[in-house]
Amino acid sequence: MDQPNRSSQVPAIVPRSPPSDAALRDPAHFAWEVVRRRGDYAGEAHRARETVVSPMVRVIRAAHAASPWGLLFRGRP
Amino acid sequence: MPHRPGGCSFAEDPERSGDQARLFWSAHCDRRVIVAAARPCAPQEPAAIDIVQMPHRVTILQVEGEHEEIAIAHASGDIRLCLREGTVTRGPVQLTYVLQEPGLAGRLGALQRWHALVNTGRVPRALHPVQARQSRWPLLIATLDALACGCSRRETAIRLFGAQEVARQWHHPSESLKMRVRRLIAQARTLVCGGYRDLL
Repeated sequence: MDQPNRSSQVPAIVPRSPPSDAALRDPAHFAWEVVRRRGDYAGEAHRARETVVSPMVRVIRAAHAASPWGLLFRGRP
Repeated sequence: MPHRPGGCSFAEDPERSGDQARLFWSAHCDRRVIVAAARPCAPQEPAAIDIVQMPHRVTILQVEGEHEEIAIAHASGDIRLCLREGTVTRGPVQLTYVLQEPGLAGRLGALQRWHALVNTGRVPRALHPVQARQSRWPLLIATLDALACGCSRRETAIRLFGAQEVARQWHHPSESLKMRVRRLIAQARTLVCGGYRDLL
């Protein structure tokens, strides 16, 4: 498990739509609601291709991540 | 497994809210991700499983040059698999699980839920992880949005608890409401500075 490399500097925060109960159903979703409010986060989803294989199955194919961080925080945790 | 210090295997569009987002926190970061190797097999072989035929919503992430990641949505949450080798897109597989520290307890819990889902089609409530302080999450998110809008501490309190409550409590000698808001702001800042990974 990574130890967070915390920065004392709070990144810019952007407001987002208030989450529904379903959007806060577990820690993974809560963490996402935090992350997507970071102004320095740059999603790369537009570079991915999604194929709906069946009503229940979809495959996302993405090029190799541009950042080794996975999340694009421009060098911050 | 690729090491992702930021914690995600896929940089989702930040416009997508948590109920819409395709979330793939990496196994390094999220101790509920089950790490496994998939070996193709015949459907009649013991423990053969065809994940794309399961009666659940399945999302498969294939990032060029990296391992396959799978999210299986069920009534009470998501099960996440990270394949060190193999794919589930070409029919039944046998899975060999990789259990190692750190995060062993979390992965064992996830494995129990997965085992129940595969064998019974559901995850019993007794296996759901208990989330401490989950009731605070909406308040923390609202606090972040207040910070984003440049709200003062008092304005933040009004957003969170309403003008009437703030008018009644803000100058109370105990300062309990002020302290509560201060704590929420401090926690929200910690979360956004990387503390979100401690949740996983």
